[in-house]
Amino acid sequence: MRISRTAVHILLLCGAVATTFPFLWMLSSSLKSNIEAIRFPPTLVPQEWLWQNYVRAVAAAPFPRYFLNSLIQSTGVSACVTLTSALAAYAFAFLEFPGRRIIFGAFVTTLLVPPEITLIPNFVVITALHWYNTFLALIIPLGASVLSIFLLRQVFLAIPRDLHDAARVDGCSSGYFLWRIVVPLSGPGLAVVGLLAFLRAWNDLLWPLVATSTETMRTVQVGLLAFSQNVSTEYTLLMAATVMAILPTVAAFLLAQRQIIDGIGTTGLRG
Amino acid sequence: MALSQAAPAVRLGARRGRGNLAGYLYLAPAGALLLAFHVYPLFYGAYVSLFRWGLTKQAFVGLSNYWGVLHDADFWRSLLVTVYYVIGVVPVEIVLGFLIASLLAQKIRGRAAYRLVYFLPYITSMVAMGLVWSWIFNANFGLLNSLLRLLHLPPQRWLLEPRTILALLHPGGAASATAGPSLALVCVAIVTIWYYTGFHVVVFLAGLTAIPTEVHEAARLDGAEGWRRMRWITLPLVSPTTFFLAVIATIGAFQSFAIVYTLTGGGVSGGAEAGGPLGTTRVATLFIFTVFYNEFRVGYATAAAFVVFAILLGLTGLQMRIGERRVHYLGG
Repeated sequence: MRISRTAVHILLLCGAVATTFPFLWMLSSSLKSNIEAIRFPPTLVPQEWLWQNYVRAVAAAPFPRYFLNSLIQSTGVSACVTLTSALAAYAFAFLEFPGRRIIFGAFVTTLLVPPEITLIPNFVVITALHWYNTFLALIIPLGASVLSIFLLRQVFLAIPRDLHDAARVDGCSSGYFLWRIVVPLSGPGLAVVGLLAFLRAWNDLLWPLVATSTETMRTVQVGLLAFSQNVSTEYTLLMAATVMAILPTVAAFLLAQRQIIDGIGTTGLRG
Repeated sequence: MALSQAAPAVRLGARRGRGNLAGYLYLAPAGALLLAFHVYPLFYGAYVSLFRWGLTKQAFVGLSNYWGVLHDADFWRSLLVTVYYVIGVVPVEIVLGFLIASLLAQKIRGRAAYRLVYFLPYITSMVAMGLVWSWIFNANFGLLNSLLRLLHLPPQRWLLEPRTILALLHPGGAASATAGPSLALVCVAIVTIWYYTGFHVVVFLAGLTAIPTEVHEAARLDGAEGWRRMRWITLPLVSPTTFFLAVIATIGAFQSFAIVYTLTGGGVSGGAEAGGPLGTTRVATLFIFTVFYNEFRVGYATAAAFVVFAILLGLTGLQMRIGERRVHYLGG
């Protein structure tokens, strides 16, 4: 089982190449001409870099609209999840009230209800509320997340209880304590919860597909899928569109990769 | 005496009373949303599944939706496809994740960079990367077929291929879901593994670094080296993580939708109907989605969802029972 350093690096590099290759191929294809994209033998580095593929892709479908919709949805979900999770996590971490353990257990139990069960009833409900094909439908049903509450509760529990008790004895209200002490002390934790909620909403396909109907309400993922069916032969444009679709999430990830990875590594937050 | 004892009790009670109200208030927003969109749908769904339900409620049919689902050959076929998919995906994800994580756990140079790279697929959208992969798998101009051509091997139809790998190696084999996983499903599984392995690496890495170094030191002093240390120290101590990952990866694979739909349904390489060539990639979620979204048989689709949910619950329960016996907790 003793493997030399070099062998370890070679193995890890092979894995890294296999992981990143689809990204490289996507970038390379997005810059090629249509002829070069299907030429044999294939080229990895485009002979001619056609940046106008991106301009053409944006013009070929209402991508600005899709991006705006996704931005509104993801920001809304992110804000909503961070707010509701911070409030609930604060109650679970600091406040005493009857039934706290039971309610926490009940919250965690809701994780057992899978999305394929909630999908159809939620669709019926938003239709009955006349939310169908609106931002309310895209945001509100995703506005609370038990895993986020769980993650923030862990973060809040690291704040000494004595601080809370001392502040309360000094007449500090619980809301004031949350806003002026807990929130400033939990910046990174709150950022991770917000970012993860943003990524989840941005990358989601099933719910926006079901909850919207018109082109003007399509999110990036739904729009991208529709685009792929329309331009099925122009792979260069399609690849340019996919690059743009993952750009915001990759940027967000690179900015806060350590916090995001640690947050996921310790809580096992998935999807 | 009695008075002075009673007074603080009253004050304490009053304060606790205020605490009560505040606690519930803080829980209210999250609680209301969870109740409305996670708990209520469970009961409402159960109600819907008892009706013939199209655009709106039509007629009460009792359990006949369930009866129909349990006698629907397409449903069972989709479940079989799901089982192939889960068996193909989950063990590979876990083994790969563990191997890469244990290489990274050896305080290697560039660990953070490797971790970043391996994790990258997980934060991208399945739709976008699914489209990239369907371009790589493209039967006419895709990269894989170009490579095969360079090696003078016959091109494959990849995501459009309903036959199994065995049938491809021994031509003349029949194409059907019961013959085994189709090449198309294998391709979908490969993309799924590519997408999720980084997640497993990160969680395993957290589990591995949580094993106290003293344990390894002690084992080394006792003469346990290499494979023996891996077998008797590392694997047992990381088993809670392995177990956790096995459970959530199984649940996740059972619920896969976006990857399968993009690669073989709604994406560029899609045929006329979602679920790929001859339905050999129509997993259970895709079956439910098609019945709901394309055929608009809402009651029937909901009943199918409940049957899948029940099977998944049973499977998770089984995993828990096996896990109880096999998982070792340090000091537990």
